[in-house]
Amino acid sequence: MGSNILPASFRDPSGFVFSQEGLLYRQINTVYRENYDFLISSGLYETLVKQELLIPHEEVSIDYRLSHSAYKVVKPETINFISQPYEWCFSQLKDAALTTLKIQKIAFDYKMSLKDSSVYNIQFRKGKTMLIDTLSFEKYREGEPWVAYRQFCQHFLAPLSLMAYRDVRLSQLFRIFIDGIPLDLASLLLPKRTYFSFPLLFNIHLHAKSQRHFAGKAVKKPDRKIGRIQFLGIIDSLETAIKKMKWCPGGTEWADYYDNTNYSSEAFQTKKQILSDFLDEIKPDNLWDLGANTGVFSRVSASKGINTIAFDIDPAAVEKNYLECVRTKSTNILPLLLDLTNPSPDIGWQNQERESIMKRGPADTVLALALIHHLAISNNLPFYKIADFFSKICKNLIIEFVPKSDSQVQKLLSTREDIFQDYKKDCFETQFSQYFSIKEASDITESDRTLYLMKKK
Amino acid sequence: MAFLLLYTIFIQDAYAYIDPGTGSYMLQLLIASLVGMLFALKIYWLKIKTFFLNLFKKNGSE
Repeated sequence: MGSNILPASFRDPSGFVFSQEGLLYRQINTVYRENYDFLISSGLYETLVKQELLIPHEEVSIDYRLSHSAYKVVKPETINFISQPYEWCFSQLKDAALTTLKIQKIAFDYKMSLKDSSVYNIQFRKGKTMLIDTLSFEKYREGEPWVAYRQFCQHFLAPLSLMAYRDVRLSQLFRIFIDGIPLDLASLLLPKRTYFSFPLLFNIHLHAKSQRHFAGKAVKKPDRKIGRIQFLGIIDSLETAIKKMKWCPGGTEWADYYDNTNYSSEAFQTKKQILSDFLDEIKPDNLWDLGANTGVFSRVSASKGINTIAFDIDPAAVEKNYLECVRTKSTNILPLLLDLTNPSPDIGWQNQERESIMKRGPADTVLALALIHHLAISNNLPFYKIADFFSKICKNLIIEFVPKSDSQVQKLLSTREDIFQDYKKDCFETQFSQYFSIKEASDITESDRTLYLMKKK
Repeated sequence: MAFLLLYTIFIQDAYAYIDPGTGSYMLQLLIASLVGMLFALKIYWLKIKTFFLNLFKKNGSE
């Protein structure tokens, strides 16, 4: 076996994903032959691809195989950026859950069923959620319960209900629990009123109790079967519970940010224009907007056809941004949740299954507008450390310097001692120049701020 | 020993590569009748609703 099999692709003996010369392929093993052939011949594959619910692929020569267990090799369409569920806002996870159930219902019409329902099998492509694992289907076995039921509840239902009914930040539990949120923990953390919701009572609270009751017990498989209507009833109860869940971002400290800056509308327009000119000059393939808030400046980039990821630390800002992307049917902005002071790490088996943000880079261009003071002052980071970090994740950097005279910096300093003697424009330029060449610097009219275009040395 | 014990749990499910979980499996059997009945009622109710909505629509357009 070559060493280029993707580290996360080891659980399912049906096949695996590997890379060769920068391209991704999927080997389908002989053991999965019957199911794969049925997926194609039943028309399910075509239906799901047409509805943009399943990643399209093309079959390539068997010579690409990595082992003799291969039945076929396919080349799936590539996804621009693999995001992790702990980087999604509430509505992104909700859409991913509903997509999974929609696929399951369609598959059922074709006498197939999902044999897994991992949240990691769903990705965003052109603004829509889609299943990226072609080998997730198996022929429906009459009378059998849903084999992926436990996984669905742990990967979707539990985190969503915790986000909706307890606290939206509980999505971060995904970073600890690689196989979804344990149901006993979810049951413990959820408010007692959720016992009065039938779908949550059955699928989380009683489910957790049942798991505890049968833990470690050897049980003979019961003769009892589950009929089709009963099977669909289980899927429907999950769907009903998820459709009912809502999370409305209230007034967070960032929600009305654009009304509270010391920008005049002219300064705001100037900033957009300078950014637009810089982007026209460097013509990047992709861009990461760090500290994107609700994505106003990400949209300047996306409007030029640049694949743009809009990261922000605030779940409310990411939620608003995502809902706006859905409303406007944006295909090249992906809003994601990210705390730059503690970015997504490598997790899973051998710390290789789910990649850190650093491994998923570098980006062609990074946009860091109104961010430097949050890193340098709120997180006490010296400029050289910030410059070092940016140099590792991009080739071009568009960065705004916000001086101490700015009201936003004054706000940050209002409750603490000013220990930041080096927080000056000339120090910023000197320390960033160790890692980047400063190509351009434009002052933003009617403000004390400056926008820089830098290229990595 | 623990392995042997685990192996005896649903040995027939060797084809399922993820563990369906004994508790999760049994719970589905337990709730199947009730959620199945609720689902059937929902479908019939939707059919009745659609029938009357169509009826009123037709009457309204005449």
